Amino acid sequence: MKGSVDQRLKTDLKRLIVEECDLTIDTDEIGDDDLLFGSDSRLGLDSIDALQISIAVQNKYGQLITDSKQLRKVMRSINTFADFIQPE
Amino acid sequence: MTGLYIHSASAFIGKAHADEKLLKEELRKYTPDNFRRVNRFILLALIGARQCIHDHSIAGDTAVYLTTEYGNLSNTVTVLDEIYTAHSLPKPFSFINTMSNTAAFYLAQNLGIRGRSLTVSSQNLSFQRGIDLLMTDWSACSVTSALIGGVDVSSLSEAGGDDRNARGWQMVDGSGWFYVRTERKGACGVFRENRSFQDGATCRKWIRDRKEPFEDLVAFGPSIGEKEAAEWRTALPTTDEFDYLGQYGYCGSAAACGIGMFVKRFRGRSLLHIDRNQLGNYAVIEVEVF
Amino acid sequence: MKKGAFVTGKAMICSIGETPKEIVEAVRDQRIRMAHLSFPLAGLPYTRPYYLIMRNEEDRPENRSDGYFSKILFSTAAAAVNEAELSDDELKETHLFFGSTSMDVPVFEGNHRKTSASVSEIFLRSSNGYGKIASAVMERLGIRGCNYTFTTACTSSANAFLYAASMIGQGRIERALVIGYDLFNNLGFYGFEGLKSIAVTTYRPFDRHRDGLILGEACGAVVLEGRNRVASDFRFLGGANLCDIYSVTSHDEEGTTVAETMNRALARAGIDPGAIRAIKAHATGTENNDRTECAAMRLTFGKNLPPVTCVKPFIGHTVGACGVCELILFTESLKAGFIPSTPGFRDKDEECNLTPLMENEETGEGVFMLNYFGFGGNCTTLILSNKRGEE
Repeated sequence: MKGSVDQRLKTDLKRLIVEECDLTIDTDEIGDDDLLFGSDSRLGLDSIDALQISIAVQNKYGQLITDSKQLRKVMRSINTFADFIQPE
Repeated sequence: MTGLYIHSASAFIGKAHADEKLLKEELRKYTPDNFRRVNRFILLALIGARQCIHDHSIAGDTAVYLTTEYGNLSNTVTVLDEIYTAHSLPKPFSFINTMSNTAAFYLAQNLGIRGRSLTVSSQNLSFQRGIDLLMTDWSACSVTSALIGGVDVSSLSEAGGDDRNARGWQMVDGSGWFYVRTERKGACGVFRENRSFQDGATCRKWIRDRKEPFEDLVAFGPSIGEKEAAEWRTALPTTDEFDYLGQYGYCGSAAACGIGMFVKRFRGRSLLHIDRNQLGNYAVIEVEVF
Repeated sequence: MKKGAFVTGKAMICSIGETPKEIVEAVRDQRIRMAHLSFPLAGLPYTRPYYLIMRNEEDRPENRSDGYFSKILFSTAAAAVNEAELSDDELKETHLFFGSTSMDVPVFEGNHRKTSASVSEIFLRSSNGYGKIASAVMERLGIRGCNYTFTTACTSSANAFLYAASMIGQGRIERALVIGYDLFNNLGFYGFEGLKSIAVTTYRPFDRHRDGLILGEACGAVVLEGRNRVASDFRFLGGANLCDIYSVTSHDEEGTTVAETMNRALARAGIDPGAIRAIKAHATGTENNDRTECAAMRLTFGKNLPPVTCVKPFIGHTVGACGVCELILFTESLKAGFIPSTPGFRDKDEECNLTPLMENEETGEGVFMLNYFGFGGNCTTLILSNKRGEE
């Protein structure tokens, strides 16, 4: 199952982001297609958040992202992120 | 006379190992900002300094001198665990906070001040050495407004994390701060002296030879043992004592907290604070509260 | 009255040498030594470069013991004191200014290999705070003055130097020993990799293809005194420190606060930007630092930017030690008659729009600017001169 259709995975990812980035919002406030990074996004996460999340993901799902440009692309939204972790 | 006029002082004494959520709640009393990526040490620094600033408006080029014995070392422990136990790269938030000056940064950012920023330590005499550096900038007129404080988390102040240490002092989290300016107008007190001595004999001689000893209270820092304190009591003209360690507890920055507490509590009085380090260097601070 | 503060003794060990003379020769010939280290504890399938001290078997990270770290520290401090020819009495009256980021973490990591206890257990049991190493140096060398440990990330020992020199300048103290000390530790190496800040192969500050910093280890010590011992001793003219509150890990790319730090240092030194013969840039090789620093230099110097050199490609980014170590490398090269080149630089970056010296440039006496920046928004600028007849 593609990650973007796996609701449980997406909820887990949202929880991970909230925990790792020390956010004060509830997980269900993050939309699946919401932009996660940059000043245009409601969460306003930055490059350090991206690295924080990437290490947590590596520890939890064993997925290694070494390139910071790839990191930004993968973590565009919860849907893109879930598809990266679980491509099929 | 140092010319360091105290315009405000604070001493936040927190319960050892208290939930960080409580610290965040305490901080929210002083600032609406939400702090992410911070740890206990940074929260303590923010609470103490914000309590000190309270409703004072402060100059944009106010400098920050953060003194600490252990600083962010508890964070260093977390990162070592991430590498050696969890076999992971350290998480960025934790790693960045092993750089011990991040607390001074978050404070400056929160207050919107862009002056000098120092984090300094000196075994057992960190606060006193911080004042030395501040006085250097004061003399050069490169700083005319500053926040100087001492901050330490209880758990690393003495390994083991017991409630009380060997001398019976309550182990606490402490953050004591002073907002100092060059101008006397509006000040609530002054650091009259901040002197260092190579040994106890030179220190005693200086105290004895002063022309106008004026202080009516004395306080001994954590490194002055019971026996030595007794000797000092017989040698000093005043024996009234401010036992901040017994009353408020101990952390690495107890001196800054004790003196902060004195400024808040003892209007119209003055204090002679004596402490030493394990190398036998002595340091004396004289504070007068108007 | 404002007095001078002169560098009368110095000593240093790093990847390219264990004396200033050896280091300067290596810099002159662009001889660089880098190791490639892996991340076995995190099981990562790649290595990253590191400027490691590699003289013999004893230097191998896995062979390093408690004694190793103190030997490097104490022998470097003692060598600086010897070069300044301090008498025992002078040494006793000296004050110590110490700057480091890793402090004694390498020791705890080393001890971990010998016991079953976790590093954090060892650390919690035996850490005596940031001031511990400075106290050990005091005891070992018989110094009885005050000691100050600066923990301001990558500007740590630059700030130690700034305050030592300022105190001497004001006549508060006669003499200071200033030490920058950061040796290899997994905490820093893994930590910067976690930030994806480490370059993959080559150090290229200010270059279009730069891809980060490369860490290095070093210990450097200088003796500062109110009078010079020989006519060629460098003199501190002025300096400044400010906090850029833009971000905890990066500076405002407009370069405003960084430029303000440079301007304040120039004002304290009582000189115009035009009097600067050359600049030692901080030049970490990260996207943000290099853009910010170039913008700031342009704000301060306009079109008349003096020659700029980046010395990190020789010895790596020695983090808290870089203040003192880059100062020694730079000023000793100047004394030897040249401004060092920037190895690794090839292609100008359009945004930085700055080409650092690519070949050594001959120089005589002059006034020089040294810049340092760090996490926590810390910015420090030092201005030194070896012009004679001004003491």
